[in-house]
Amino acid sequence: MKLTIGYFYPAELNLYGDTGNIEILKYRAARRNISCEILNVDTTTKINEVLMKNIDLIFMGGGPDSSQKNMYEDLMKNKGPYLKDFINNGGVTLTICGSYQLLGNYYKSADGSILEGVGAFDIYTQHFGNNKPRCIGNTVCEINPDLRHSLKFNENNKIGINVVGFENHGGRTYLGKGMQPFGKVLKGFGNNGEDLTEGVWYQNSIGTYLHGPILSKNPHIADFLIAQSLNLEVLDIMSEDDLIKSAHTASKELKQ
Amino acid sequence: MLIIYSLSTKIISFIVRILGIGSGSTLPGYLVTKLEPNFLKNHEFTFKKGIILITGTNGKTTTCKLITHLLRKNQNTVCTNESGSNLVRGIITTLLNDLDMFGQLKSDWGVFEVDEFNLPLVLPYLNPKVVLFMNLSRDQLDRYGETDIVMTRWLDVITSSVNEPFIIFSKDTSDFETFHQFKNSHSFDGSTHFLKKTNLMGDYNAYNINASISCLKLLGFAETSLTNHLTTFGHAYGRGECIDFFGTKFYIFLAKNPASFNHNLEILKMNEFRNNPVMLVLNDNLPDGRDVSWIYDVDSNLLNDALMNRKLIVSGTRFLDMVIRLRYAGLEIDEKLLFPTEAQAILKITHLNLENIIVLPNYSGMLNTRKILTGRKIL
Repeated sequence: MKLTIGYFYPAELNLYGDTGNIEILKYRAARRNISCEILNVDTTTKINEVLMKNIDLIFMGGGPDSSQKNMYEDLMKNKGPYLKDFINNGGVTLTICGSYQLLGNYYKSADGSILEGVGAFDIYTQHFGNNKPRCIGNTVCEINPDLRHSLKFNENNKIGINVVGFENHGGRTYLGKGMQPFGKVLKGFGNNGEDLTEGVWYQNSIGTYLHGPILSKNPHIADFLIAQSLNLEVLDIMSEDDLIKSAHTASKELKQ
Repeated sequence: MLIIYSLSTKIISFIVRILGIGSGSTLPGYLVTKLEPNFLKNHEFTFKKGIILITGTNGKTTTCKLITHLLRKNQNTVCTNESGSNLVRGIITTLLNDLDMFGQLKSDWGVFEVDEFNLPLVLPYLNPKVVLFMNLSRDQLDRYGETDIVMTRWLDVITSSVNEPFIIFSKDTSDFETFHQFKNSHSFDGSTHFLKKTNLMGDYNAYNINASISCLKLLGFAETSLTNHLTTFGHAYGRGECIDFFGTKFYIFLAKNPASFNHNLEILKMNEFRNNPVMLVLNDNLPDGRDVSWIYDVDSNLLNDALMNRKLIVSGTRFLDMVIRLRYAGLEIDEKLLFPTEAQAILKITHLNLENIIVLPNYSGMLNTRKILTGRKIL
């Protein structure tokens, strides 16, 4: 059994440990005797249907503004349409912070300028400059009930109903009318510090602001991504998860 | 006014040290900034021979200590922020401690390490002869933001500075290419011919040594007057120093961000440290940054390679995060060797009667560990 992960823009979008998510998926797959291939997709990669067909799961991390400038043109011109199709057709995706924002409709900077997004998620992000503080801190959310009650999530969930992480973003994201959040904020800012939503959950794709990296203390999310990508029912239990559950629980007590 | 501040500083520092609650190297400066927020702007601090500032992500303390050592060996007196107190308050405290009873600075030179984010708060008012930029990488992202923000702040303050200090920077930090635009810029690299004359471990120290020598040569010192004194230089605290504690030798290598962690793992692979047990400390206290995701930017192959088949003791406020990271790097962890505090870990180590142990702490972990092992607090 093989899991092929499409890792988009690994050089530009690898902020603060987000690459760890790839390492974690590889490890958890290997423990279930699933081999893992990482397909790096960057500005030099020629993208086409064949390439995309081979991909089971797409991951995109966060990145500093300067890095995002380097890949933006390629994203909008070349990779974006394929990502949009992948997501709309139920492909499994995990995107963090900057990439989550860029997959939305647009990003409005503090000076009012608008940066168009891929439009895969019906969301927009706005930076309010110095008028609103950056959203930084330890975060705890309750996973969207529809997501956590879904079969593949529920069957593989040894952790519980929460997701924990660390957020650090200036942009505040607002979900379009039909969009479901990834989680409900219990502690932290989430998308915008106003409506208690965190991230987005659309078809089989998750967009989120959670670093940590997110999969480090949320193995139930990792296992859901693997199970959903490969259409597996129940993954073998991992003994390591006892300790990870302790870490997850301890994280809920961290000061924001 | 300065004399009053100076006297108060010395009294406060003394009291803090006597009471054992700290080293007294930042509190006085903190209080001064509360009374006079523009303190550095309002007062002139001119040393007889000049000021040298050192900043960057890693290497500040070692370089600062080395420059100080070389100046002193060349019969110069130096005022320096010895205990790594590199924010504005630490520098103010250090300056006030150097004033004599007439309010004049005693030392020939001021040599200060400055926190990356605080450089713009200090440079315009101290008029240094040299500013040394060691490197720049991600560190405490929740405090500093991305490295571009730090670079922008640095470029702004240099271009707007009235006097033109020497700008000395590492050739091997790509962000620093832009420093070439400055008239008085010079670069240093990581070549190891001077490193070999010292007893410092780790090739990364070559940068620290080359930076120090470049700096002092530009200020008029002959190369031999510097290289002659390299062998007498000891490790800065927590940067490869060895502390004997009840018969166990603790080798402390500060590992506070991916770059320093990776460098120290390379040291662990050296013959003299092979098979030694390792104590890791991961805290998320104020000086550390609360986001510990950076531990996943430490190279996992290197982690696996360097730490495989060793006894591993994991401690600190975020010890569970570290254990999980190590697990994902393929390392087995004995759950009986996990401790939330450095004290518990050190107690266990003494019970185990180990001959040597390598400590890889992040910043407050290094301070706490040293406090226990030496019975003294640094900051």
